[in-house]
Amino acid sequence: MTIEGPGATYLVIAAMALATYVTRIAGYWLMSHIPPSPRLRRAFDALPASIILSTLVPVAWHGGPAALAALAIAGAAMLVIRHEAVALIAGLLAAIAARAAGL
Amino acid sequence: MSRYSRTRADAPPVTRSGLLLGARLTWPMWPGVAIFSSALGALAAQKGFSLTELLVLHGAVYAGLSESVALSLWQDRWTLSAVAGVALVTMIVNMRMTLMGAALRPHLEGHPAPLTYAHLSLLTDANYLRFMLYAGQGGRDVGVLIGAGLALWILWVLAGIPGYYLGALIADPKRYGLDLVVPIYFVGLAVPMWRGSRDTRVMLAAATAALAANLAFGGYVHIVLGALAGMLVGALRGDD
Repeated sequence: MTIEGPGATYLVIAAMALATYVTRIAGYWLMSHIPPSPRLRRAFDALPASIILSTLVPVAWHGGPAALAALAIAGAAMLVIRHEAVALIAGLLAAIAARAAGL
Repeated sequence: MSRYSRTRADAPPVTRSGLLLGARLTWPMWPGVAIFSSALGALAAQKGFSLTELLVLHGAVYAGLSESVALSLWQDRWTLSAVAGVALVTMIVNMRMTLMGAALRPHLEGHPAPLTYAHLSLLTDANYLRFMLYAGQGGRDVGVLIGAGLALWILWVLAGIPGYYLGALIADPKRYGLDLVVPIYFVGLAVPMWRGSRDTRVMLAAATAALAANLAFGGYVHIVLGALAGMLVGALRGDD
């Protein structure tokens, strides 16, 4: 059986929206059934940095010298100046410069 | 009854100033979010979406990576199994949000369930990560989480419109480094999250596992696999 037209589009969107909402609430819901422990707490404490590194490293690996330069300079700027926006602008300028130079 | 010991009376606040602070803290993300949303708007136009369909997609799903995967698989005619397949791929791409929702539980304890289940629909990497940085610095106001999610949601939906009509907002976003805005911003968030050698071990584990999974499988499972590896190392470490 196949479906087409706007009805099909909205059906697919609804399926995606439901799937996404379930991923958003499932962890929160599940945690009401799992007793907290120091070990679990440490695992979740490690999550933000882990998500960031998991997102970043493949980008750096595949992105060539311009991406590496941008990420390294943003990291260095953040270490020194401790301001997100300054780090972002420094990284962007590095990316623009590296790409303008053909890297 | 909750297993966490906090009572409703000292549940974390949700204030108007927290909402505004959350919205304001997201501003470095705006260019990247707008570009990504408009690029998907342009892609949706190519796939024959009406503007309303695009806005419903952006508004109801609000998860760019999964939207871009679904749009790249888009068909004119759907079988029910193809619909189920897109839903499954969407869940896999967004699985990391399940971990984020679980990690948020202690920060939301004592809130009424309808409030929490409503604002979790705005949960995304950016508001979660920014809120965790704020919480790590001692902040408790859940308005920051909600305000950041809401501000980015509004921008996400609206920025689809120029993309839909004009093509992507900027013809060659790479030239301006705009494809790197989110990774660069994430570096800025990661630096204050590093507090010592235990964080180094977590970050190395996540980075190694994510890269290995990315090279082995391609696609998007590397984020959730890297996150799980980092959590495992975080759980195993001693109480140092």
